[in-house]
Amino acid sequence: MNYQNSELQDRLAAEYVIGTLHGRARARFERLLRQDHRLQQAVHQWEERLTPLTESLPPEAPPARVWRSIEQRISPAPTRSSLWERLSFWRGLTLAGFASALVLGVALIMLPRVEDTAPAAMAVFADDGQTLWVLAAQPERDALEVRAVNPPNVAANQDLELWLLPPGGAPKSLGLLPREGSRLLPLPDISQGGLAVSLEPAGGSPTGLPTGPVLYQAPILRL
Amino acid sequence: MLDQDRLDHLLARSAQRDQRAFAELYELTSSRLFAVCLRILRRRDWAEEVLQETYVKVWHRADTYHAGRGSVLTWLTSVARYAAIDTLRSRRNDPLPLDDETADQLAAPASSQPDFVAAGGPNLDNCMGALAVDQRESIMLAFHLGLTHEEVGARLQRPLGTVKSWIRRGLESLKRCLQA
Repeated sequence: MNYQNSELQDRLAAEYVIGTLHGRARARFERLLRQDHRLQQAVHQWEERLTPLTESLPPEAPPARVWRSIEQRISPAPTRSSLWERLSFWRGLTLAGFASALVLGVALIMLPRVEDTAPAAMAVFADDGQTLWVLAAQPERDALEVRAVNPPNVAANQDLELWLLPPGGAPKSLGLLPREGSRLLPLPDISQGGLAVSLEPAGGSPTGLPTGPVLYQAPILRL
Repeated sequence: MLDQDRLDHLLARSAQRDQRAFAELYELTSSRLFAVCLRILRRRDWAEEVLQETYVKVWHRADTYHAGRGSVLTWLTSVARYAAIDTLRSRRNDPLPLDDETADQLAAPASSQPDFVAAGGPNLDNCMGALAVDQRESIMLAFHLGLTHEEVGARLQRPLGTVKSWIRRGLESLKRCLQA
């Protein structure tokens, strides 16, 4: 489809905003939207045109527990001395692509080295300035520790699956990503390749290969 | 009406990690966003969850907002609507039953709906009112309930292609009318 056609762009923007664009077309549109300034403008104009329709809905106060949960999630965590906590400044840091690798490299040099827990390799999944998961290989435990920082929400009947992408080979499943907290996955051979996350049915891909959209990718930083 | 300048100020303060400003922003806007989520999801637990995600996201992205993006309320509402639509589609296997009263209310011409007349300013309201009934009805069903073309078609018992063109032409007319 030719997304450069401005009439088509405008129509897709309208269908995106009204909500009728769905499934893969919607996901693809959202990916393009992140990069395409003109598409963003078209979407913003349609939002401005149509959003006033929501003013007809009678306002409904949400229960107090919603704000309590939000407040908990946006308050800075109390300082602790674990490696993870020292890495927590990544939260909210805008990292993207190559720049993220550079910043990460600098950050790691500045961190005090912790001999017994220092990871052999790390990876950070980030999206739009938010850190989603931080991964650390721990060879002494033969484990890959995955920590959910700001993971995206997925439906109860879906899971996010982590894949190793060996150069020239098929993706290899490393397990399911935690929705919160951290999880230890078996440590694979990560001497080559990068990582990816796909959306799968609950319990993971039934075929052993990614079946849903690949949502995120991250390089492995070998230390 | 909400005070736009106040919302601008509160969001700018939130971008600087001012939690009190953010709390006030929530106080002023959450009941509107919750209504939007509830209308689309029709389950309070899901709507609460989406509302929570929306404001956490807004907190983290407050510094990415700029005036070219539209008003603060438009931005907040859009974030909530998209999250509600995504949640609806990822969780729902069968289309939820839509009670006739809600559908009729949504599809009613603006002139017979005092709520809609007051809403959205005279321009949008006039322009919506000027659409053919079929076009207006399909747009309202899609926009307010997060229905896809297929679902609007099923609801109105009309073929997919017909509904698609109603919505497309309706949106085109709306755009022209609002520019006039």
